[in-house]
Amino acid sequence: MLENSFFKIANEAPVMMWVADPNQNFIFFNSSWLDFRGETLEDEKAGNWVENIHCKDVTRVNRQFEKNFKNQKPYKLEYRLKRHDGTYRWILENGTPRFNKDDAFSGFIGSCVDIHEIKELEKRKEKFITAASHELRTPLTTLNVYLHLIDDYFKQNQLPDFGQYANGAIRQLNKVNNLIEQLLDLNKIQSGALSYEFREISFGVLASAIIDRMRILHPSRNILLKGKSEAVISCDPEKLSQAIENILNNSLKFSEEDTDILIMIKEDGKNVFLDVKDFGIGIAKEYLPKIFDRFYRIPGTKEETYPGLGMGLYLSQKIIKKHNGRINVESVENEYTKFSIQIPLI
Amino acid sequence: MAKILVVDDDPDILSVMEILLSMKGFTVDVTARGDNTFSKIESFQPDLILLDVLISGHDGRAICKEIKSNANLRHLPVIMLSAHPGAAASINDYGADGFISKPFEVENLLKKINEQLHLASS
Repeated sequence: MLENSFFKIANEAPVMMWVADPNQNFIFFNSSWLDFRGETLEDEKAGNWVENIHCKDVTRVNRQFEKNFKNQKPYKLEYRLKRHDGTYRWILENGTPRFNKDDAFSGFIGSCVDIHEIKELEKRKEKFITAASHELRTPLTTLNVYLHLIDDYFKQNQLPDFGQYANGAIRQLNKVNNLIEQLLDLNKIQSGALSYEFREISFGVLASAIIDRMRILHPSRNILLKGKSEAVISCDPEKLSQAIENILNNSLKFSEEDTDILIMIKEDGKNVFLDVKDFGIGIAKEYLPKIFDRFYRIPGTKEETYPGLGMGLYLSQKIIKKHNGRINVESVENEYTKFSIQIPLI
Repeated sequence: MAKILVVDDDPDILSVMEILLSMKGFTVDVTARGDNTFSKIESFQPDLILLDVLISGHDGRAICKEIKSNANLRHLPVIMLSAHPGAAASINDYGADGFISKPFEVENLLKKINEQLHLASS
């Protein structure tokens, strides 16, 4: 019988496996599974393992199983399962639906790996980033205040050149601050802890505040605004500003000083739209689908010419999605890049 | 001249705050130790307190709660400072009058201080 030969092979496999019939009866567990659990095949088949799923995960796992057997589609699931030594380990389970030769659903095969160490490392990494950001903020706070004091002194003593240098230093410091904020937000997004405070505000007011700020920060650049909107949206103003600023910073970074940045705002009664267009180096077609990926940087010499961490667009997209919005990009290499944001009205 | 007491365990923050706030015309006293807060309040008689959320060995929030539960000190405005922006969410539970995350904009800090002093005197 096919099943028996499969079971034989499965018993040799280093991953933990189970097989279930279409009625959610577990009919087989391989040797790796039984070794991990320290249980007999009979006990596991009787459902012993379900009772040994961590109490904080069991409801979620059961609910997911009900869903999986109804949907009959491949799935991934993480949960904590008790090992033979009595400790709970994080398991990553890949479920693959089985179909017989008549294409009728005949259950699932689950293959599982112990990802406990990876999970622990991930947690430690998050803690480390939080601690590092915190440690960085304190010296930045003092640095910022000293620079302001210097700036004040130059202003009072009418030394505009030096005032400009102090301002330049403050601007750079703000950049470092922003990078740290992004790093921290990224960390929070990963651990699911980034909290949003939604308020109803006028999109036009938010957009012009952002544009004003960008014009002050980049006095040499021509940032043009076309169109307007009186529409009210529900948003976390700080997060959404950050998302839009990341895009604007990108446009400024990847275009020459003497080229315009074009911002277009419009609405259609359902959504408000904001486009940011620059006439810079553009993005080659093959890289377009990847630019919203975390830490993605377009390869080639440009990577050195245009410093960055590859977090900006990833964060922007996450934030805009949280606002039930959309972000798209359109580009022709060495001609232009246009980012389009769409946010639903209330 | 309004008097401000700064409580923070970082000596660099304390010295820069002392310079900044004195330059802006305030009378300033500082302490790096949370347990000194109350004796400082008594001797210095501040009009406002800038209090860090996490002070080594002392939770700034607990100090804030103690100030706000003391009938004689309740009126004293407390602005809390933290390098953990997440800390802002729990500030209200401790009765703080304001929150500023580190690093802060100098103008923003001065604005909040003046707002609180204005509220307290009106």
